Amino acid sequence: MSSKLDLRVNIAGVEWKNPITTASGTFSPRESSAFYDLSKLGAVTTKGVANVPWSGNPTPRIAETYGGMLNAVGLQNPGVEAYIQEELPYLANYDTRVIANVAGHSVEEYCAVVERLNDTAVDMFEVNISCPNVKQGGIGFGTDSKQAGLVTKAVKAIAKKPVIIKLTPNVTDIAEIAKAVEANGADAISMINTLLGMRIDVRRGKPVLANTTGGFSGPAVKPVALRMVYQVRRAVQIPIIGLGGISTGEDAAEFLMAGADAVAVGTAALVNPTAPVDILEQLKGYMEEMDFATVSDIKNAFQG
Amino acid sequence: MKAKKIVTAEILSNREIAKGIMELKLEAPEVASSAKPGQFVNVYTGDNALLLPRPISICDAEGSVLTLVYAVVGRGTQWFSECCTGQLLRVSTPLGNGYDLSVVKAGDTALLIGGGIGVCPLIKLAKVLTAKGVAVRAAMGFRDEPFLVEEMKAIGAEVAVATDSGRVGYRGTALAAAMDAGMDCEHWFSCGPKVMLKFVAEEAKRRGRDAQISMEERMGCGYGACVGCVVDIRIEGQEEPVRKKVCKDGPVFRGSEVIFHE
Ligand SMILES: Cc1cc2nc3c(=O)[nH]c(=O)nc-3n(C[C@H](O)[C@H](O)[C@H](O)COP(=O)(O)OP(=O)(O)OC[C@H]3O[C@@H](n4cnc5c(N)ncnc54)[C@H](O)[C@@H]3O)c2cc1C
Ligand SMILES: Cc1cc2nc3c(=O)[nH]c(=O)nc-3n(C[C@H](O)[C@H](O)[C@H](O)COP(=O)(O)O)c2cc1C
Repeated sequence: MSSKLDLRVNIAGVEWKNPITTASGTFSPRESSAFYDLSKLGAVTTKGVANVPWSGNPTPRIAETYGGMLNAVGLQNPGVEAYIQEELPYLANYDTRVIANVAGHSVEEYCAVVERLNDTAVDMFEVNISCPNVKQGGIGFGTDSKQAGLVTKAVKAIAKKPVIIKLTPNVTDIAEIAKAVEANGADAISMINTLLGMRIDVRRGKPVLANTTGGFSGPAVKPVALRMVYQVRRAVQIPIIGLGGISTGEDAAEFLMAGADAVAVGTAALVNPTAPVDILEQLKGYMEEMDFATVSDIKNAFQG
Repeated sequence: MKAKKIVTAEILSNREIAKGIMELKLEAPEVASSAKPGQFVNVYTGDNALLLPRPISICDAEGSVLTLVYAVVGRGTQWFSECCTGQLLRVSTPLGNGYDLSVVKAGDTALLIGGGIGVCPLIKLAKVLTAKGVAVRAAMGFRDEPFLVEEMKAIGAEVAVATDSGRVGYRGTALAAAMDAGMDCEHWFSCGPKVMLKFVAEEAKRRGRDAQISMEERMGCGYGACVGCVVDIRIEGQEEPVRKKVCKDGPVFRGSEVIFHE
């Protein structure tokens, strides 16, 4: 049966064997591959990497919420040199596309990372202009269409690989930001990053997270993410990688119907380490049940 | 076959062994057979609102049976406490690095210091050390009501019990009880609240030892993907500390390398 399925998708000129990738920050090449074969995925998206090491925020960085979680990791990462030396050679053992998620406080920092990764095995860049946990930069670029456009343009000018811009949901009109990044040359969009949230420990009278606020993710955010993908699909032509709360194959199909061309699995993989491959299998099962042969068949079946 | 996975395990028993303290026995051959002292497992609730797995130390593992001991402190552990014999639970294979036992040899002495729920991993540790021919001394501290003391004695360890209230044994901390009783050993192992671990690390250092301490931190995934649970680690010859993952690089660290804030 499944031999009839053709799951391939083309994202900005890069062919993926299927439409599933990992969400940045919820995947680690070595740790995740202890649970499943990374070659099964269309692509893997790695943790945000900056030009130099970042130590991130103090702990506690994690809090649970109803059907979701808050994180305030603050983009702790070992820097682009360590990424090139440790992560990329390891990923070379797998037959999957590599998307490098790029972090920075300034246009210069984003560009420094992209420049350094230009001549490596990285297949695509995902520029995170949407992290709510870093004080300067990050989300500052993602909440203003002018700034978002500027970063996009600067990165596009030097990038030798397709550039995906990752959008924040913490804005009034996400379609406006999407249009700005498309107009400035973005090859694709990924959305959504986490929603800004908070929890208070009422016994201690203090915020649960050391950073006070954190990024809200997981199944609870899915309706918001889906609505935004739907809106952005109607505003831009470039491919969309949809994410936000995807936990099952049917969740993935929902995003494809809403207008995504591929999907990423985040928090679900923290809860169940094999979630990305489980979701892929469930998506195949759904396609067989529905008599869909390709990802386009799923997308075209939407009548909304 | 992948090295790590989530398995479904049948509950053999789940009973209260002290006030608010439960002992859970699971038929989990894949977990039990590879469990090392100081490692932990992720245990899943069946409540969909509670997304994240709960990290629980491996208290004991014999044959195919995994023993966990947990304190009922919140909604997740409350859910576990309501589980019945025969029910199925989802649990991960062992996570983290346990205590480093390569440094211990037959004829050595080892001091195990546990505070509160931190006494749990010391049971499996005491068993493995004893089997290696190491003489084990255990200092076990509790707020008011001791647990796992008989289990520790049955392994053959010399045991000192302390309670904050003074209801049983020494009035005060496990560390103070151990030091008062002259229980110092070549090797120190500890698990418990952060403040206790700090004092254990300092006291060990004063005596020229380097305690192996098991740290606790809020975790997301428990397997090293999310970088949620970190601890500042001092690196020899380096000014800046390095933030290591408790779940993957720990939970056991050397007392001399951990930087305690507050
Ligand atoms: C490596 C490790 C080993 C542990 N071993 C044991 C053990 O053997 N026995 C035992 O009783 N407890 C142990 N704990 C603590 C245990 O994980 C928490 O008590 C438990 O997660 C509380 O869940 P809850 O839903 O009842 O509490 P809630 O407070 O409702 O939990 C809310 C969230 O906070 C997390 N959380 C709450 N308290 C802690 C804590 N102290 N440490 C880490 N996360 C916490 C929960 O996992 C959950 O994600 C261990 C923790 C770690 C990190
Ligand atoms: C612990 C954690 C770390 C994250 N780190 C990053 C990151 O480094 N870069 C980034 O662009 N997004 C990061 N994100 C956001 C996710 O990639 C994703 O956009 C978001 O969690 C929504 O998807 P989900 O509900 O499937 O998790 C992180 C999310 C979590 C939970």
